[in-house]
Amino acid sequence: MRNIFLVTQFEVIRSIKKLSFWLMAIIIPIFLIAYIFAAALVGYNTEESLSSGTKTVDLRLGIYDAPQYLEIYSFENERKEVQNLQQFDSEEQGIEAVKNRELDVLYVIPDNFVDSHKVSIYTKPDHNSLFDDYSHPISTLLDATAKSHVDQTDYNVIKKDLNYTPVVLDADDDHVVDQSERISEVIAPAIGLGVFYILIVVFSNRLTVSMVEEKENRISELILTSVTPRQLIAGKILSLLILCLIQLTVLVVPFLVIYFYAITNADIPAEYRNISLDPISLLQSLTLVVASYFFVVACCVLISSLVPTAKDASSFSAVIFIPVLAPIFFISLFASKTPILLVDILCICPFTAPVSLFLRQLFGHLPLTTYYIGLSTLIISSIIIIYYAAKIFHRNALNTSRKLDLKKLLSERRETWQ
Amino acid sequence: MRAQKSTKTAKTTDTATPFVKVENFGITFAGKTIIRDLSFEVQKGEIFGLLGSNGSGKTTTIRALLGLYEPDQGSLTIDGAPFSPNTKRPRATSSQTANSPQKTHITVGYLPEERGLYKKETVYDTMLYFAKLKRLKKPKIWIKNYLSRVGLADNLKSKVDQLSQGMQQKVQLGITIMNNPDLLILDEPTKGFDPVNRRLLMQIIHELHEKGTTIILITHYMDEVERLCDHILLLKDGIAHAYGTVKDVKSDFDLPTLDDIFLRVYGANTEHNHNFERITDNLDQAPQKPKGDY
Ligand SMILES: Nc1ncnc2c1ncn2[C@@H]1O[C@H](COP(=O)(O)OP(=O)(O)OP(=O)(O)O)[C@@H](O)[C@H]1O
Ligand SMILES: [Mg+2]
Repeated sequence: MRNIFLVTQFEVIRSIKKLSFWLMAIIIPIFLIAYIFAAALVGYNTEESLSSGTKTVDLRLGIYDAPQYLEIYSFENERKEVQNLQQFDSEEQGIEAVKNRELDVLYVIPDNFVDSHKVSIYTKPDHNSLFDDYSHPISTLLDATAKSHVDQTDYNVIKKDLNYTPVVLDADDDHVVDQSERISEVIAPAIGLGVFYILIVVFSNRLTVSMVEEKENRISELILTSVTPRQLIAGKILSLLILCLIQLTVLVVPFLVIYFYAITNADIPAEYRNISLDPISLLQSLTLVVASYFFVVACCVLISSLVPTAKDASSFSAVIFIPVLAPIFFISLFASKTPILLVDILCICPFTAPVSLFLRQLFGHLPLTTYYIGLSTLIISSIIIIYYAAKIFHRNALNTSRKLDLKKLLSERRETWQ
Repeated sequence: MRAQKSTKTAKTTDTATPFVKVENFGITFAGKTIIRDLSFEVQKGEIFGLLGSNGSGKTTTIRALLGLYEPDQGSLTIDGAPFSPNTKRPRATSSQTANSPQKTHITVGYLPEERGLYKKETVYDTMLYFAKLKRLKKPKIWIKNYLSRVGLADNLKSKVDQLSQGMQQKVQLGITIMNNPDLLILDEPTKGFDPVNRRLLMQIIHELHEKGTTIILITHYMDEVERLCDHILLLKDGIAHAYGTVKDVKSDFDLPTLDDIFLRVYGANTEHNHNFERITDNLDQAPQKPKGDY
């Protein structure tokens, strides 16, 4: 235990002493922030165009006005964007139209509107990104109606307390999901996927390089007569974990600052304001990140136990990324709720499981059994891989050539050998 | 010198159980047998010379002894058990050595043939790391004292890769002799040292030997062997070709120096000797007939 601690301490201190570590630690969040900023800017632009009416003209809008609150004349007087507003006789008819894609957006003003001041906005997923806001046309109408009602209190209600509930009909129609609920469901797997991505991109390479260092620099003999191979491996993995946590802290702090700044100062839509994290999906994502991380760590240890130099290690660890990131290319399959065999296979195969499981969770249909199966495959395969990796690491610690005697590497250990 | 040596041999003869024991050790690499059947013993407190030509398997034997290679056959033990770093167990042999008597486990110092260090670390950080791993009591003081004794006091904060080869070797030697090891294994320690530093190394070996450290010395310098070693072993073709005290080996071969014995064992002045052929002539011509291993 003491040796593991010493190895960890040594590895952590020499890493954080390096300028390159901090450069990386700072550059990654800067890139991420820049990316999110760019995405937000694009989203903002579409909102702009929506409110100015250029884009809403192309959208087919519908309305079900149960209390007959809106006055028809306002339709004619308002801008042309609402002139093709289709009226429905029941809520169901309108929703059906959205499902059949005869309609892009449906506004529902419920019976109790005068008390609740609630308007629901129905869309299909492809017409409702997280940044889109379809409330503008309806608010124009409500505004005009309220103005025509001379009742001042009524007008104030419209201006202040109006409550929009965006509802997204998901790809399979049978589910009607509350937008703010969706956000809180999406946030855990999205963060999980992001964290996993950063961990593997930055740290798998760091780990392989660090694991190969003794072999490449001929320090193996010196170090392995002072610590056992397992202690060395454990110490290195642990040091990596600590470096990861440092990196994540550097990453999370600016995000929290921005988030709280946005909450207190910026005018953000109500559904983003009170996002409560779903504890179950948070727990799922967390266990997934941990299990996936250890699977990648196990693979990295295996690779570095086989190759002689850091250069080889880097190129081989890049090879792991291909299957690990492959599910991203099948993202459309994961969006569908109907069971697809390929998706199930991807969720069970340990290499593709991490990203696959995150994606399914992201789209809101990860069956609990698939989650458990995927998670246990990840854990079991990690344990098996790390067991063999440690064995090979010991046997191959002095082999500085590319030639491998696999039979010898994997053979049973003799009793007289530690 | 002579007087010193006789006291040394006297010291070793009274220990009955061998400190290092190698029995029927054999190892192959990719089908090539390196060591066939090797047995020898090293007594506590002696200096043991492990000799042999390049590629005869000296380093391989030591690596197997230290658990770095897995033997294909036989057993290699230090103080009655296979070596493992930092295993705590009662000493098999009672320790009357001058080494810190409170130590509960066997400590081994190994200067490997391949001299590698963490290149980007400072001398001090590197040594401190190993000192902590080896559970040195007052590591900081020890390191500073050692470095100033070997003339590296100014290099405390230098990066390892800024040091010359010989200087790096002194750092490694320091790491090796930290914590007064019970067993010191030196694989060609004088390689690359100038005469002054060679003298320095000899002094260190001598001092540790006086403190009761058992030493296994691998070297190609027969004068060092004659001066220092109690027992020697000459490796050839994977087996021990000569094994015993320097005096016994000399009288067995009936030759005056170890140099002569080495040349005899490795085929100089015999009919299949390469030395009679000219070496640098006709290097660009295809060989007439295939040659054996040696
Ligand atoms: N990991 C390995 N894989 C394959 N062959 C090896 C390996 N290690 C050593 N050998 C072979 O074992 C033989 C003995 O090597 P070793 O290093 O033990 O020799 P040595 O006696 O120390 O020689 P030198 O005096 O040159 O240091 C050599 O032929 C070498 O090619
Ligand atoms: Mg050697």
